[in-house]
Amino acid sequence: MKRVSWIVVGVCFLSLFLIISSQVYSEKQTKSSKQISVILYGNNIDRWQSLKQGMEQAGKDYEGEVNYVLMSLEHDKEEQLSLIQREIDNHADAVIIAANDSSMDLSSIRLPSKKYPILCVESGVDNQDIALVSADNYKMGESLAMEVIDHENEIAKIAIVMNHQQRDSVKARYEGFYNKIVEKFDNFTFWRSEKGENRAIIFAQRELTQEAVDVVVALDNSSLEAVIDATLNLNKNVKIYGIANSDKAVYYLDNGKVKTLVYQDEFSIGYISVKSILDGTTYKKEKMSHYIKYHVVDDTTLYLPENQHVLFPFVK
Amino acid sequence: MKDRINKLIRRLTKTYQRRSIQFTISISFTAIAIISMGFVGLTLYEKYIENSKQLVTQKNKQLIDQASLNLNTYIRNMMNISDTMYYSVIKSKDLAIEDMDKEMALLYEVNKDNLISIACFDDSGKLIAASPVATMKTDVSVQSQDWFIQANRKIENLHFSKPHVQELFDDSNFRYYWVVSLSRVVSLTYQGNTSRGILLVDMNFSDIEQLFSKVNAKGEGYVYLTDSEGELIYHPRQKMIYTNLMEENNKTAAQYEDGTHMETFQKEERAVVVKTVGYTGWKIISVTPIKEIAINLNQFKFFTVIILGVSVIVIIFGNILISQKVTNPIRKLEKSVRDLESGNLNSHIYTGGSHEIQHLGKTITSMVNQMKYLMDDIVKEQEEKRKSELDALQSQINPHFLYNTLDSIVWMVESERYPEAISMVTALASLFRISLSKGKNIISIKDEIEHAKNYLKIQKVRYKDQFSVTLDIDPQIMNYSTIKLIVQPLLENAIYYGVESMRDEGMITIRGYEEEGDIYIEVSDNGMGIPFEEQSLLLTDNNRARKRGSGIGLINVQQRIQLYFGKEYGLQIQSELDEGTTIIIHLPKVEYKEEK
Amino acid sequence: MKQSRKKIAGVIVVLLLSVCFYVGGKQFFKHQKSIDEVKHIKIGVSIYDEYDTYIAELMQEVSSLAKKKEMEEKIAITVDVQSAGGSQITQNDQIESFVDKNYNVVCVGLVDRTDASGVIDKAKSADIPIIFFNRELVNEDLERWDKIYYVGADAVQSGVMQGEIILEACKKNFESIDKNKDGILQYVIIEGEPGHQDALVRTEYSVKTVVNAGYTLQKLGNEIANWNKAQAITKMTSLLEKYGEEIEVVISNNDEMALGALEAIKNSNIESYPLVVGVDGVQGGLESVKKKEMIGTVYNDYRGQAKAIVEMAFALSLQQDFPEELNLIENKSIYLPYQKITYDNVQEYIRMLN
Repeated sequence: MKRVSWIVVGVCFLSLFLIISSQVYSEKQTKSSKQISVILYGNNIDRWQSLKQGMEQAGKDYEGEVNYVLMSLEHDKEEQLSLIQREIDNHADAVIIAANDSSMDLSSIRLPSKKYPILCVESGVDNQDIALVSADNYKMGESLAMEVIDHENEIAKIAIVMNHQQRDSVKARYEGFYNKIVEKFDNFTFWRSEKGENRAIIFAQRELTQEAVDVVVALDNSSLEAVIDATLNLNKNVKIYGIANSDKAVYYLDNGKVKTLVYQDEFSIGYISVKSILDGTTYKKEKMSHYIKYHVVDDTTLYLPENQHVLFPFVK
Repeated sequence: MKDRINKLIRRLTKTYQRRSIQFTISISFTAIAIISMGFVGLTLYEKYIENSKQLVTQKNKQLIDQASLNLNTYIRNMMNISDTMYYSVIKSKDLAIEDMDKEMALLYEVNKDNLISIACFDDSGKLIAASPVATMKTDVSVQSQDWFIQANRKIENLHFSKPHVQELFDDSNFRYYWVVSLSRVVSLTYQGNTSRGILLVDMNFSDIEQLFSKVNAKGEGYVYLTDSEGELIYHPRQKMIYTNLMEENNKTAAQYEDGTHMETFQKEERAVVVKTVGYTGWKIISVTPIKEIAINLNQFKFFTVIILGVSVIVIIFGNILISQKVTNPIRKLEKSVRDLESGNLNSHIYTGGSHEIQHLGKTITSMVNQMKYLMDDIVKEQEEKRKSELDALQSQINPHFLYNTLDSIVWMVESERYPEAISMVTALASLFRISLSKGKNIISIKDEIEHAKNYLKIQKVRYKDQFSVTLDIDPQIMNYSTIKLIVQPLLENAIYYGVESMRDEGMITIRGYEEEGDIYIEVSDNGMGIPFEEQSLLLTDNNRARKRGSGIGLINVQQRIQLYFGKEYGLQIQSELDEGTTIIIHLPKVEYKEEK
Repeated sequence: MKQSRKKIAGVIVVLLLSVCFYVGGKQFFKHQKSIDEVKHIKIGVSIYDEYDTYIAELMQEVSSLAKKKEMEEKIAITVDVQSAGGSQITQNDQIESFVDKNYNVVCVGLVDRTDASGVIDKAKSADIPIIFFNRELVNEDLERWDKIYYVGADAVQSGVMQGEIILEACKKNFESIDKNKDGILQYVIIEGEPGHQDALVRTEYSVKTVVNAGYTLQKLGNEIANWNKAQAITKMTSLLEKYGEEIEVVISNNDEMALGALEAIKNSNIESYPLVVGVDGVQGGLESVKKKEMIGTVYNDYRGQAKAIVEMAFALSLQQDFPEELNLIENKSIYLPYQKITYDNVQEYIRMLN
C-alpha cells in the first residue's frame, strides 16, 4: 500500500512539474506582444507612411503590434473619442492618437487602469499629462517665416491658410509663423474652408479665384495639397510655402511649384512613440523631453543626402 | 567557528547514520545519480554550446558568402548590360543619322525587373537617349550629379555610386526611385567625329535591398553593405541610422581585413565578419551580437533544465520505490525482532525477501526455537531441582528415624544415661541443622562429613555397635563443595542393606580423596552386596519400593548431583555378592565459598 | 504514519487539480477571447504597386466603404493595405505576415498572375479566405480551394467597348478622323504590362470590334508603356517622331497611358490630333474626356469592385452568406460590367464619382 501511495505522489509531482514548465515555455514563446492602437486623423493611411514605418520598426524591436485606425472623415472630434473608447474596450494595451481636435476631453474615456498608456503624435491634446511626440511646431512656423522673409519682397501679399487650427500643432505653427513674419510683411489675408466645402480643393480654388495673392502659406498636409491642386487647375502663378509631409508636396517642390517645404521626421515620431510605450519608461509628459528633428528644404537642397533619406522614405 | 562547523558535520553524519536503511539508500542513490547526471549534463551542455557557437559563426560565414555571390552576380549583370549597351550598340551607331532608342528600349524591357532606367548623355549633360522614360525633369543639372562627375574622373572604369534618389526623369505619379548609378564614359560617334559621352545604368536599389533582407531574415544578427570607405549602402535599419535613432560601427568595420573579428560596440560584444566584393570594393559586413547566440541557447538551457528536473523527480521517486522494495524485507525482519524483544517468543519471524534476508530470518527463527528449548530445559531443570530438594528435605523428616531416635533418647533419659542422651540430642540437632543448612544446597564437604558423623553417632547408639566406621577423608578436600545430604543416604543404605543383617560386625568405610582434579567420596560396606541386575536399577528405577530407611534413595542423590554438576558426575556402584558394596560419589572440585 | 501520508497525497492531488483548472481555464478564455474578437475584423490587402492610379482609387474606395460598414455594423474593421512594390516575393512575405497576425481575410492584387501559389498556399494553410482582384488567376489556381474568390471585370468587354467608342466616333465623323482620306484607319497602340490579361485582351478586342464592323485598320506601331503615364509620354513621343500626322487613332490600354500619349501629342507640333481612347475612367481620364481631348473611355467600375470586396470580406470574416445582390459566378467570381463614357455622359460620372 505504501508503495502505491509513493507512485501516486511521484506521478503527481511529475505532471505538476511538466504542466508548469510547459506553461512557462509556451508563455515564453507567445510572450503576448502588447497591442497598440493608433488612431490617426484623416481617412488616408498613405499620408502617414513614414509614421507607420517608424512604428512598425519599433514594434519589431520591442515586441509590440500596432493597429491603425482611420477616421471616416477628415476631422470629427466625437468620432475620434468613440474610436479611442472602442479600441480601449477591445483590449488594446495602449493608445496613440493624432488628435484632430486638441480640445478633445479625454477625461470622459473609461480607462482600464490609472496607468493606462496614452500618447499623442503629431498633434496633441490640451489637457492632462499626455505627452506629444512631435517636432517643435512653433519653431517650424518660425523657420518657414524666415524662408519667406529671405525670398520674398516686402510688398508681397501673403495668404495664410487657417484650416485645422483646432489641432494644437497647426496652431503652434501658425503662431510661430505669424510672430516672425510680421517683422517684414504687413499685407496678409486669411483663407478658411467654409461649411459645405468637404473637399479641400474647393475652398482653395474659391479663395484663389477670389483674390490675387503672391504667396500662399499652408501649415498642414491637406491644406498644402489642396493649394497645389488648385493652383495647377486654375493655372495660377503663386509662390507656395508649406509645412507638410507628403510625396505630392515633395514632388512639387522638386519641380519648383512649391518654393520651400518644412518637413518633420515622422519616422522618428513613429519609432519613438511606440518605443516609449513598449519599454514602458518615458511616455509620461514630464519625462518626454526632446523634440523630433525637422528639415527645411527647397529645390536645391532637396537631393542632399541628409534630406534625401527623410524626404524619400524607402518604399517597403 | 570551526567548532560549530565540526559540530554540525558530526550531527549530520550521526543523523545520517542513525536513519533507516531506506532513507540512507534513497539519499545516497539520489545524490549519486544527480551528481553524475549533473556532471554528464554539464559536460554535454558545454560541448553543445561550443558547437552551437561554431555553427553560428559558420552559418554566418556561409550567409555572407551567399550574399556576396548573389551581389556579385547582380553587379556583374549590371555591368554586362552597360557593356552590351556600349559595345554592341553605341559604338556602332553614327548618331548623326540613327538613334539607339529601339535597342535601348529592348535592353530595358529584358532587364526591367532590375533596372530603373538606361540613359545616355553627351559631355554637356544633354540627353541623347533614355528608356523607359525620356522626359527629363525641369532644371536638372546633369553635369553636377555625382555619377557624372565620377565617371569622368576615371574614364577607363565603371563607376558605382552610393544609393540616391534618381534626379533625372519626370514620373508624374510623384514617384521616386532609389537607385545605384552605374556610369561610364563612352565614345559617341557623329559622322566619323568622336566625342565623349556618359552611359548611365540606374540599378533598382530595392533589388539590393531584397537580396539582403532575405539574408537578414534569419534571426541571429544581420548583414549590411558599405562602399570601400565604409559609407552605408544598405543596412537593415538604415532609416534608424539616418534619423540618428541608432548608430552603427560601419566606418570602423569597413577597415577590418576580410574575415572574422570580435569587437565591442556600445557595450555589446559581437562577432563581425567582413567580405569584400570584387571590382566595386564594396564590403559585406555581418554582425552577430554574442547575446543573440546566447538567447537561442536559452531555449536549449530551458529544455535541459526541464529534462533535468523531470529526471531528478523520476530518480527521486524511483529511488524511493526501489529502496522501499529492497529494504522492505529488512524492515519486516526488524519488526519481527522487535516483537521478539518485547517478550513475545511466539511471534512469527519474517522469512521472505532476498536470500540473505531469508537466511537471516531462518537463522533467527531457529535461534529463537533453540532458545525456547533451552529455556524449557532450564525451566524443567529448575523444577526438578526444586522437586529433588523438596524430596530430600522431606525425607529428612522421615518419621520412623525420628521416632526411633527420640525413643532411644527417652529410653536413655529414663535409664538416667544422661550424657548419652545429651550426645544423642546434640547429634540430632546437628543433623537437622546441617540438613537444613539454612536452605542452602551447596555446603562444604567438611559440613557434609560432619552431618554423616552425626548420623552415624545416632545410628551407632541404636544399632549398639553392630558396625564400625572408618573415616578416611583427605583433609585437603574438606573445603570443597558438595551437595548436602549425599553421604548420609549412602550410609543409610550401607547400614540397612549392608550390615544390618550381618551376624558379624559390619564394617563401613568412608573415604574421601581427590583424583585427577575431581573429588571422590566412597562409602563402602562389607555386607551382602547387590546383585548385578539390581545395580543398574538402583540408580534408575524410581518406583522401586523402598523397603526401609529414610527413603531418599540413591536415585535422589544421583539426580541431585547430576542436576547440579552435570551428567558426568554422580554415583557409581561397585558391589559383589557377599563381599561388600562400595558406592562412589564423583564430584567436581569446586571451592566452597560462603554465600551471603 | 499512514494518516500523514494520506494528508500529503491529498494536498498534492488538490494542487494538481488546481493547476489543471488554471491551465484549462486560461486556454478556454483564450478561445473565448478569439470568439469575442470577431468584434474586430482585420482585412489584409496586398496590391502589386501603389503607383497604379486605378489601384489607388480602388483602394481609397475600399477604405472608405470599410469605414462606412464599420459605422453601420458597429464592428471595428481594419484594412491594412500594403504595396508589394512590383515584387512577388515581397507580396508573398506580406501575405505571410497577414497570416501570422491572424487576419480574417486577405485580398490580393497579384504582382505576377501566373505565380499565385505562394499566396494560395500560405493563406490556405491558415484557413484564411483569399479574395483576388484586378489581376485574374488562371482557372486551375482559382479551383484549387473553395475559399478563393476573384473580383474583377471582363477584360473582353472593355476591349469591345473601346472598339465601340471608336465605331461611334467613326459613324459620326469618319472624314475628320481619316486624315489622309485613304479609308483606312491608321492607329497606334499603347500597351500595358506584358502578360497582363487586360493588356492582351483589350489590345485584341478593341481592334477586332472595329474590324468586325467593317472598317479597315492599319497598325503603324505599338509600344509598351507598362500602364505608366511617363513611359507613355516617351513612347508616344518616339512614335510621333516616326509617324507624326499619320497617326489617326491612338488606342491605349488605360487612361494613364492615354493621358501620357495626349501630353506627348500636345508637346509635339501635330496640328490635327488623333482620336485617343482609354480605359478606366479615373479622375484624369474623365477630365480629359470632358475637355474633349480623349474621345471616350471605358469606366472600370472600381466602386462596384470595392463594394464587392468589402461585402465579401465582411461576410467571410463573420462566416455569413454573401449578400444576394452580389452575383457570384459559381460562388467564386464577380465580374463587374464596364460602362462606356463619352462626352455625352461624362458629367454624370464626374458628379457620381465625387
